[in-house]
Amino acid sequence: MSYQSTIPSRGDGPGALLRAEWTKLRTVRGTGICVLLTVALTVLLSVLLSNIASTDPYTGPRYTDAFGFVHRQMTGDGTVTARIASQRPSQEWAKAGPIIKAGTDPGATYAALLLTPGHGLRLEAAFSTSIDGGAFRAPQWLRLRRTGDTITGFDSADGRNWRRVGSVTLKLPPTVQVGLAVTSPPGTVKVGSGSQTGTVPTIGRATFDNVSVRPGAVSAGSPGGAWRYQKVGASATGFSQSAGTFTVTGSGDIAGFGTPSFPSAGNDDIIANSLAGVQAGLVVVLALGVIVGAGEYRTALARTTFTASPRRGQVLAARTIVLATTVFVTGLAASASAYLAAQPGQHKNGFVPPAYPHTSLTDPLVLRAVLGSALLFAVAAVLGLAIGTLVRRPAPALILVLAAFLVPQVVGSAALSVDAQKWLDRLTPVAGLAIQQTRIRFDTAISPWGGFAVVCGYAAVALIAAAITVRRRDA
Amino acid sequence: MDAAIAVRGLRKKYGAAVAVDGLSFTVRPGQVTGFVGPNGAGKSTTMRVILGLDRPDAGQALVCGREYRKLRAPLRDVGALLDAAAPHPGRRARDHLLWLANSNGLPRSRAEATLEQVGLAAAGRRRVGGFSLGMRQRLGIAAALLGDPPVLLLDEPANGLDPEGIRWMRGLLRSLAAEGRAVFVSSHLMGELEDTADHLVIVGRGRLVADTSVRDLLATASSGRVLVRTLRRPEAMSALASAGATVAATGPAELVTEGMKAERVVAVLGAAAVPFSEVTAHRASLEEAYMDLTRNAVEYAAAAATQEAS
Repeated sequence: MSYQSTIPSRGDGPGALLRAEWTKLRTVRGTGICVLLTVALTVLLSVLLSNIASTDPYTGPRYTDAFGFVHRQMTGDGTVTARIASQRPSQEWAKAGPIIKAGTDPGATYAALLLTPGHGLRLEAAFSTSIDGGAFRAPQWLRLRRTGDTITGFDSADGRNWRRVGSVTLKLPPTVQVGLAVTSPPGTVKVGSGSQTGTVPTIGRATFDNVSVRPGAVSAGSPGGAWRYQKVGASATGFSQSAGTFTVTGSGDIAGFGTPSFPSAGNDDIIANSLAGVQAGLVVVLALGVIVGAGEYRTALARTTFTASPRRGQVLAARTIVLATTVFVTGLAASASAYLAAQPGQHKNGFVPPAYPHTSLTDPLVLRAVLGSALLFAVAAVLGLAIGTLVRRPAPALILVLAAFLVPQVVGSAALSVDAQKWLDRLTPVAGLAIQQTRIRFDTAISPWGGFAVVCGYAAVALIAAAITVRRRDA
Repeated sequence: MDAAIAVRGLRKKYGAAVAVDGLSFTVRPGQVTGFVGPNGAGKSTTMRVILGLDRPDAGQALVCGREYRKLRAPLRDVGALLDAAAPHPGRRARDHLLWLANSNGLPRSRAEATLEQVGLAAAGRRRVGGFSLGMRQRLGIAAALLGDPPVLLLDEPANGLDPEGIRWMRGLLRSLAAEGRAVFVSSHLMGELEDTADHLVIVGRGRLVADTSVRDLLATASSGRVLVRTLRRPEAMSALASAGATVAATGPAELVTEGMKAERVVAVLGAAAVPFSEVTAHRASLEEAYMDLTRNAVEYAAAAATQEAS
């Protein structure tokens, strides 16, 4: 005689495994504690930091205007053309190229087609517009054409075939100064061994040839016809001309709010700063992942699990989905609350317009930072889960994942140069924090989604290794 | 052949240590099969291999004719109790059963039903961390019964149970077998299986020592032994020995002979004029029979332990 089970079953497919893993996760107190702790620590740290970090409310000019200016007069419509033969890479945002400017006083409106060593060609105007013209380097032919109030930029590799870069509209007087602008913003250096930074001036230099202004070659003797050199703003500069080759130096920047190189106040990434508490929440989430991954081995519960569900790869998949979803929802609550809770402190401490325009949760950049932080929480939990599953013992696994996230930050901010820190921020799991960036800064190491991809890569490799070993090893 | 569990040529090493060394046996439905051997004989390893948790180095184990890892919703085919300490201490007893039921698509009502069955209905909402070892064993048995399976594997289920609990467990195992299920129970104490097991698989040092019914084992162990009670033991011993029996003293006024029928013992003692108060066929206990069988294995283990320690 043999017995048959009298209990109906709906099978042990993916739905059943997801339900089982969700039941497991929600029925231990540790999960709830971790969820609350994640939100609480994230918000708390963000609020604390928002109250500590302060800046002087910025009331100065909304632009900086200091450069070496070789210029002459032009009345009405016309073009200025020059071939930039070389540019010294004095700073990634050093600028050199043709410019049309309302006058020689600092702050006079302008349009310029500028080559930079680190950010390619840019058509910039009026301290507020910056159009990306592509990743070019010297030598390159550059041309600006004035048609009424419209300035159009062109570039060419050979001086014959011209490509339109873009155009801008300005309020310009009939007679303007046209010519060549060369400048180079201060460089950022680390001070001592700490995380303090300072600046040093840099001097940009560029050589030009084939310089021409049309209509008409104006003789050197006629009014406004000679090339003059002028320091716009106060900076050390120089100019020499021989046989049609112009060598121009300049220091400073032609920039304002809205142009990416603007070096003055307003360069703090306050959206990322408002989410600084996420790093505290990440520690909790990593621990939760490790406990979910390794905890079952501590009590031999893994044997019960794999007896009930012998297809271990599917168990791991279900567990990953349940944990990632739970942590994403938790992380979204944490990062959105942290952003909102940090706003009053930031406003009170001088982060106000015009340098720091107010933002809201629905701004695209804020949305990317907040949703991205929630995704980062989920990926970190998956990384913890995978390492926990691989190592099987919670304590060593936790030390491993915390080291991966914390050591690069401590080492990077304490001891290394800006460049070394950038490499750490690119190559270690810390790169994931780049998803919070909303401004390009001196310490920007990697693009937001690029950094997120790096941490996803770590999690994916660990998860694949966990999936392979969980099937092969004895439980 | 309707073997519920079939183990053939099973071999499992952990590093250099051989835990199971060429083990073969079958477990049949409708009876309780005891799996007995000293600690370290390879019982738990064998059970883990049967359940697909550990991979064997050689041989195979089939449950209901299939490899365990190939079973779908296996809780309806096999119920297992491996380690009473396994449930997460922070989880409520009912939730432990609930996630197990979910994983195999079983109705949620099974959690309550099995808690009732093992006498834990009142403790279902308590966290497992506060349970006694006996309560955890009952919870583990509830988990094994969740899918109402035809095959049960229980590793040392009596551990931590009080006498009343052990009696309950015996009754449960007997009634599960009586329903036609195969019940496979391990123990390192033969006494626990007395009056429970119908069949015994005895192992030592990872090898099969005996695969026998309880009745046969007892008959073998008892055969040809006669117990004699007498106040004049030395005279009795010499008389019986000279008549050709193997004699052993088992007490100041008690001896056991081997290789001589009871009638002949009475005749020899009468002829030698040795008075006696009792001559009976000796009935060995399961424990004795087991000790006889496993003595070699235990001695080996003790020697090995001494070597390792030195």
